[in-house]
Amino acid sequence: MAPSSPSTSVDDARTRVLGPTLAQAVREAKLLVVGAGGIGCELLKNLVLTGFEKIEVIDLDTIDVSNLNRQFLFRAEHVGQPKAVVAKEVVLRLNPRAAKTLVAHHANVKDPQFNMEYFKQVKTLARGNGLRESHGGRKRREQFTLVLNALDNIDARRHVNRMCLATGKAMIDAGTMGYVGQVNVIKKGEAACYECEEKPVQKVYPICTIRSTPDKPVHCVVWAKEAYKLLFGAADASLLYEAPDAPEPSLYMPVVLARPEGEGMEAAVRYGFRVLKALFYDELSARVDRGVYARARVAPCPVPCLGDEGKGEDAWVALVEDGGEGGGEGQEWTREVWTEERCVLELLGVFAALVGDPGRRRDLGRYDFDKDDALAMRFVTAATNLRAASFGIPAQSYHHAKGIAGNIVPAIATTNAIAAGLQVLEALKILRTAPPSVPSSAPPSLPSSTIVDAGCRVNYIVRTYAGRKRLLLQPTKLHPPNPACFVCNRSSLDVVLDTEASTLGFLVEKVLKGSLSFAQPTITLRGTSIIYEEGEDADEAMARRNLPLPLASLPAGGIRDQSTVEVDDVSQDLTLQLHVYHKRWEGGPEGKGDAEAPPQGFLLGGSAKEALKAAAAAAAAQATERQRAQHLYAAEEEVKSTLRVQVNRKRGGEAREEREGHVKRSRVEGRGGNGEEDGSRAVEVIEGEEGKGTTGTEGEGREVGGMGDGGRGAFEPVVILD
Amino acid sequence: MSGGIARGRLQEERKAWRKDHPHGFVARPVLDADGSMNLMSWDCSIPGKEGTDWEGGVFKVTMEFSEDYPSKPPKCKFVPALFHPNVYPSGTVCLSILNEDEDWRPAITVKQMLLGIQDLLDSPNPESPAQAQAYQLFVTNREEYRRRVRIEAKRNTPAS
Repeated sequence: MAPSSPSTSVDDARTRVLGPTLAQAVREAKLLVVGAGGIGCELLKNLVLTGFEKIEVIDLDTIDVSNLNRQFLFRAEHVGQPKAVVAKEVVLRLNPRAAKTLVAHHANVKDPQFNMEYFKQVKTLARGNGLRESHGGRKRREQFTLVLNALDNIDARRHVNRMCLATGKAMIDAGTMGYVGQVNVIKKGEAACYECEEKPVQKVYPICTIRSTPDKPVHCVVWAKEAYKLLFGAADASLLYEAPDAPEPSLYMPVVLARPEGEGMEAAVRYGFRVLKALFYDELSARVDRGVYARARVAPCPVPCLGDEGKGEDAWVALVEDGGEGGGEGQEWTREVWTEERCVLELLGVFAALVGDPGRRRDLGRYDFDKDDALAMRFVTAATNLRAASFGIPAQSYHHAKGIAGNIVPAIATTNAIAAGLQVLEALKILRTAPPSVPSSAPPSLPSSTIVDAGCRVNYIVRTYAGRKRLLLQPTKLHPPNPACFVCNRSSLDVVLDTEASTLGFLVEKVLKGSLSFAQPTITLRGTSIIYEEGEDADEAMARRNLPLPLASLPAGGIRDQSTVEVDDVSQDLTLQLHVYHKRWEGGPEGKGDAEAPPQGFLLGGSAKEALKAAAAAAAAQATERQRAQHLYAAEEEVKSTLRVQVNRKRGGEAREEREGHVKRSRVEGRGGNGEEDGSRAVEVIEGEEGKGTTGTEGEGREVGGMGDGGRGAFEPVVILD
Repeated sequence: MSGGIARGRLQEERKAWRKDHPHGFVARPVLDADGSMNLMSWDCSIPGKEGTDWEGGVFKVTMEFSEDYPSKPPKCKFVPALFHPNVYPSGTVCLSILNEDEDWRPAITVKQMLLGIQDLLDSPNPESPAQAQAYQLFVTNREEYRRRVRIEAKRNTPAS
């Protein structure tokens, strides 16, 4: 032990708490922190105060006013500046000694500059062995000891996960959602990686649910946002838009298109009324009459106050002109559920403002829904409720509708702080077992097996006292790697899609990038034929040629039922064997579709396996049925042949033909389908806000702070990782 | 799987090249008429080294691999043929590491081959002449040889 002098310096205090060995390891460890937001701010502050000096931080964001209530490193004067840069400057005040070793990158962690070389932090210069040896005046950079994730989205986490697996780095990941969260330690071969468990995917709703058969508030909110787009934004991009030559045209389209030429309040309100009547009354009545809902449990009921039994156009216009055009502020207006009449007035007020006002009118066609735009939210809330009323779905307050529309889960500073604290504790555990560094300048490198020996845990932050010990923090043993994981165990993956209708572009964008987070996929067929490349030195002509082709028509035999496709990502050092199964789902957008058709147009991984199993079971059942029929037939034949001796022979022959016909019929399977519709057009919405998220904010609204005023500050959609 | 060893190795070569290749070089399997890459046939470009008479030129080379690769080396050919003592009038490169009876080893990568050919440009080997014209000038009139090399480099300078 060093002779202890009654020093009050922070260094000494740290040394006393951590012990001299760990304190030294902390000073020498080099960390990569990905994210400088809610968790990142807490984490950076904790790390610097713990004594870490060598830190690189990456964040692509700039500071927004709404961040200030929980990202405590940032102040009002920082708004608009890069998070990583400001966070670095502010934490340096806590430990100025780190000035030279703290590095901030205002960039996306998926950028090519943060490639595997960067994660390894070994520059390929000349040959050499020591990490800090200089080569022709240039120094090699030090290795990262650990990577800490403070991210808010699954895609970036997956990317960092793959980079860490590829470079053998230990990674400490943290995520929170409202009051719950978790901190997990990951290292290749030792513990489950971030992708060992399939993550819940973004909820996607079939178009027919949105357009014709909503049964949840969120369906109405999605519809209302589409209606907003149709009326004030890029109309032809709306799900409700219909081209003039569409078959079975809806009644509302011509009404929507008949927007008054000039400005003026009255014309705008009259137009608004006609649109509302068309959307919420006439169209629904016509559909009911056409028998669209003949088989529905409850037929929708058009909004009466807009129909013939209502007060009529002139009376509504007069009401608006008398100052009843709605709009409001404060708790009451945002928290109460508006009456139907109130909703109509709010909507007419929005028409008056957007169509009638000469200034705003100019931007018609360019309005994009934004939950923080009060006019847009007024429209969406009121339209949601009129739609909900027609379909017997509970109405929502402005506040609740905003929660659903913005997919809002409150970010809670306390949870972030707990998660960041746990990350530091896990980091200390790892460093504690790392061998003492030999020359004092080299950062500690981790031995081959560390995180299990170090006693690292998966830490769950839960909301209610749970488990045997009734704890709010639940440390759990690290999960073993999943042998079926396609990332850390190179396992294969199944995908079911329509290989005749889906293009290579669909496979690349929706499946490989959108669902599997590949960054730069290369696709090889039959082991040796490369048909798609992107990224560094890629053959772009090949990509351009093949992307629009249906999978089955691709070169080298195409991708068909039971094809195996090799997907490589040079940037992530990831190889995947993708087993493709062809399936054609029948159906169209208007609710006549195949109930099993996945709205995103494909099934992947577990859901693909299930579908294949179900298909196999169905086929087996069919085979058994066929067999049974054949047995039956054989048995009958036997009986007949014995009988034939005695009975009229001619008749026996007829009976046989009949049987055969029957057996054949039972084998016929419907295939077909109407070609074009592959079900890939759908609406994407993250679910999870319904009930859980919003009731959460309701109950404990005050803790989140500033929610009532609709400030964005309180909200940040944070996706949890489990 | 069809293809076997040669194609598997070439797929790895392609991956390795995309991960890391020397500046100014190009090496890419040609695109077949059907829209897939033909791994057995590569189009490459080699830049003349800075500070040599070859500087500024970018020289097109094709590599034709056989099913015996990597037991046997690919056939490397300048297209068009090049004024160089070790390049046959057909464009074929005469280099020991590309000759299976000399220094070819299966471990030699595409990158090493191309770097080897780049080296050859400014260090011709008078022991194994492949064309008369360049060889004669190289051994008899070095000045004229260098002038011709500079012309060759200029002729192969990509428009920028």
